[in-house]
Amino acid sequence: MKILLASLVCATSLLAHFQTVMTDQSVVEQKNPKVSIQYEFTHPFEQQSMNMQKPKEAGVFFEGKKTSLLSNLQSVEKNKMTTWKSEYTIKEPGVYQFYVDPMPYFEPAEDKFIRHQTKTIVDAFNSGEGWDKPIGLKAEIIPLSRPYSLYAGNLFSGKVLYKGKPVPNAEIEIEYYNTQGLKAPNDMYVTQVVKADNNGVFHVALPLEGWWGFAALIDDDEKIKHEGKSYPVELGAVLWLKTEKIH
Amino acid sequence: MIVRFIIIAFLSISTLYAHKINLFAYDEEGSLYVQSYFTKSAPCKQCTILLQDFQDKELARVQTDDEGKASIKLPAPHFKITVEGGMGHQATLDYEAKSHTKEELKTLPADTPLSKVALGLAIIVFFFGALFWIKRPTRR
Repeated sequence: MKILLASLVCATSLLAHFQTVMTDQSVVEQKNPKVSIQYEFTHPFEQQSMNMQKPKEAGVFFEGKKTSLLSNLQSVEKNKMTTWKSEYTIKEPGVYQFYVDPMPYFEPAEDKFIRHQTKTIVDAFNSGEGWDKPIGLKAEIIPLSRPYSLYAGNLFSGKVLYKGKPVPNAEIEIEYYNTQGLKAPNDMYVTQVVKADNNGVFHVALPLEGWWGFAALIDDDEKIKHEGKSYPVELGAVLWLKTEKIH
Repeated sequence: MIVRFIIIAFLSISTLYAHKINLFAYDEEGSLYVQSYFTKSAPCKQCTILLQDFQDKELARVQTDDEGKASIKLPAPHFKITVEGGMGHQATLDYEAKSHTKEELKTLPADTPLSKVALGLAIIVFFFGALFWIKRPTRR
């Protein structure tokens, strides 16, 4: 029994939690300026959703200004779990960063709260600029490679920031949003891990077409009280991007 | 000297090749608004915007300002927009208007259907008829 429990705990801890923000298009053309945004708390490779509460904040960052999309959010049931969606119609050229700051999630197995501040970056009408601008999240990944119109197989580089400053030697977990039912050779392959250098810069190759999530996990300087006890917060700087294959 | 010229020419071509010209357009209340740019912060300044039908007949022509923007009355419901950025750079957009041209508005059917007009007239006739009936002189 003890062995069974221990192995269950071990199996659970191998699954990485990821907050997602994904859009139906990451390069928007004039023929279809309406963007659908999907928010989910999930294990992306295994496609095991978790319940997501209505987030604290969700919005779009455009030319230095944040616009809330919280009032447009609609809940969507997926595998009996709550996920969220919204829509946004783009009216002018530029780079639009869709972000979400979820309600902190208490993970009893790890005795901590998880708060993943997550974003994805969309270009509208070939504007070509602004994808490397921080939007001012407490924890954030700044792309050093243009984070849209990437081919499968490309190398992606990014920089991890916490309170606006690079995080030396940050650890970044990477997962593929596996909608094709691909099988990993074993559990260790599900979540890839890289370390950033002294300037918080990391590099990852993206072998498959589809959505990829990067989560730099940082011990936050704030704690959250829960049932009379103070718990640490795992603050995630999370970025999602999509690669395409050449046909 | 010749080598230097070739290198400069080559660099210049390379730079231009990377500068893809873009065209963004929308219309509101019969006016077309066009914005042309290489990147968001590099507008196509004083560039010619040409509006043509699908037989390449010119419908209108306008020049962008220093922000790469121009506006003009909608010449037709469906047409081509081409921006000419010089040095052979151009972009073309097949454009279908969402608002109506002034000419179209003149020929558009009224928003109010005939049935509603007939009902309105019937109500008026009924109202005045009732009024007439109430106020009619009574026989003693």
